[in-house]
Amino acid sequence: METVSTIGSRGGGKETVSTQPKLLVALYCRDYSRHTEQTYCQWVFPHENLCVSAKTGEQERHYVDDSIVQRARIYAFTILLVSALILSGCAPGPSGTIIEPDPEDISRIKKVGLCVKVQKGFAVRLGYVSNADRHWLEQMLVDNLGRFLGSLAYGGPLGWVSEHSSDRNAGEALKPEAAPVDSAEAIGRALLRKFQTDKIFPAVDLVQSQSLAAAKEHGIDTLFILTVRRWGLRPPLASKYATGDKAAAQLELGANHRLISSATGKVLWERNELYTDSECYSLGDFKSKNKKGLLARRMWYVLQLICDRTSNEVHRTP
Amino acid sequence: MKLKRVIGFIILCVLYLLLCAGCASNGEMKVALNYTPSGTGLLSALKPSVVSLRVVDQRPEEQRNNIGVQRNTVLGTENAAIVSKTPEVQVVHKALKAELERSGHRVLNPGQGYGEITVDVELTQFLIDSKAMREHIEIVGSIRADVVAFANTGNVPQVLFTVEGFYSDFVQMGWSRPIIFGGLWGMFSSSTRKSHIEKVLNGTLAEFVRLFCIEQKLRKVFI
Repeated sequence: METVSTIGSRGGGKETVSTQPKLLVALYCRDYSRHTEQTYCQWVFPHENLCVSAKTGEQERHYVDDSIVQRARIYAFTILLVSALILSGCAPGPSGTIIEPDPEDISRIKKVGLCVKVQKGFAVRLGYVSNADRHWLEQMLVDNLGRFLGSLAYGGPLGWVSEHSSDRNAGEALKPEAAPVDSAEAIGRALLRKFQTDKIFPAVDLVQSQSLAAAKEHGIDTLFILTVRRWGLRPPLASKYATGDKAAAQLELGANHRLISSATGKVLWERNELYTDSECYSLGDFKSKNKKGLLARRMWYVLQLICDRTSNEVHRTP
Repeated sequence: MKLKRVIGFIILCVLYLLLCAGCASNGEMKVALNYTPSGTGLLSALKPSVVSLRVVDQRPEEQRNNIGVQRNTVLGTENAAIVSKTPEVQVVHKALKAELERSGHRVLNPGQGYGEITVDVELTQFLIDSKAMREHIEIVGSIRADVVAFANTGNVPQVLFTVEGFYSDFVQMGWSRPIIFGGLWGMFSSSTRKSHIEKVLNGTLAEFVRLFCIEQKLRKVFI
C-alpha cells in the first residue's frame, strides 16, 4: 500500500491520487455485507489480506490480492489482443445480389470489356480445415519453419504436417488437370466465347485492366469484372469428410461479378456467387487417366452457368 | 473451512455446467423456413396469368430424412441433424406461390384444375452444410429443382430448365458460444447456431425463388 503518492493540482494545493495498484485495491475493497454468510463469496474472494480503503482510509479486509488483479488484467488484455489479431480477418459477405440491374442502364450498353481476375488458383478443400485456406503467415510458418524444423529433427511434426497435408498433395497432383482453366486468361477466353455465342451483350472484348479510362479509350462503355475468389474441389454438402482417392468431391467456384459503366464509374450490377457443380465424383475420378479432362469439362460447365445466370440477370424480358 | 470450500467448488462446477448445458446435442435440430419477399414482384412485369403449380419431391431417399448436419465449428464433427419443421416440398410450394401471387398471378393448387400456365417443379436437392474457411465457418445452403413449364393455350413450346439456388454466409469460428463461459472446452464444443442455419436456409430459399423467376425460359411461357 506504499503506492499512494501526492502530486500538485492545478489550483496549487495538493491532492492525493492513487496509482494503479491503489485504484485496484479501491475497486476490490468493497464491503460485502453478507460475505460471512455466503461461502461462495469467500471462496471467490478470499479475504486473508488486509488493506486500507482508498475512500475511508480505514483498514479493511482485502478480498483479492492486488497482484492477482493486475495479472488478471494483463492476461485479459493479452487474450483480447491475441483474439483480435487472430480474428481480425474480415469475413466475406453473404452471397447474392448486392446491386440490382436497372433495365434502362442495361439497354444502353453497346460494348462490354470482359476482365477476369483470379484471387486464388485451383485448390483442393476436402478436409474440414483445409491447407488451402491458411493465411499467408500460417502458410509461411508451416511451409518454411515447418520444413526447417522438420529437416532439423528429421521429420518433426511441423515438417510432417507441411509435407503430408492430403489436400495439398491432391491439389499438387491435379495442377496439370486444372492448368487449361487455371488462369485469368484461360477463364476470360472461355467466358468470352460463351458471351459471344449466347449474345449476352451487343459486343464483348477481352481486356486486361480494370481501368475505366483505358476502357473508355478503347470504345468500351461498360466493364464486366469477374473476380474468382476461389475455385477447386470441395466435399458435397452434408457428406462425411473423408480423405484419399475415394473421398467425394464437387467442383466449386466462388466469384464476384460487377458491371461498371466506364463513363460514370457507376456499378450497374453486382453479385457474389457460389457455384457448385451438380455432378459429384470421387477425388480418384479427377486424377484418373481414364477420365482425362474431367476437371476442365466440369469447369466449362460452371462457366456456362455463369454465362446463363448473367444473361438471366441482365436481360429480364418483360 | 475446508468443507465450505469444497461445497463452494461444487456450486461453481454446477453453475459452469448449467451455463454450458446448451452445448449438448439433442440429435435433431428443427428449423423454421419462411420466404420473405423484398422489393417489387419479380414476375410483376409479365402478363397476369392463372398458374397451376405443382411441387414434387424427387430427392434421393437419404436426403429426405434431414436436410443437413449441424457441425461443431472448430472440429467439424457432426452435432445434430437439421430437420425442417414444415416438409420441404410445402416450403418450396408456399414460397413460389407467394412470389407468383405477389406479382399479380393467380395460383391454382393441385386438384383445382388447369390454369393458363402449368409449372411442375421436381425438387432434387435441399441441403445445408458448413465448412471451415480460415478463421470463419462458411455455411452453404442449396436448393435444386428441375422445372417443366408450358402454356395450355397458344403455341408456346414446353420449356425445361434447372434452377440451382445457392446461398452462403460466414460466422466466426469457435465464437458461437462465449469463451468466458465455456473456456477452451466451450470454444471447441461450440457449434453453428440455429439462427445462422435458419438465416442461410431462408436466404437459399429466397435465392431459389429469385433464380426461378428471372429464368428467361420461364418468362417466355408467360408472354
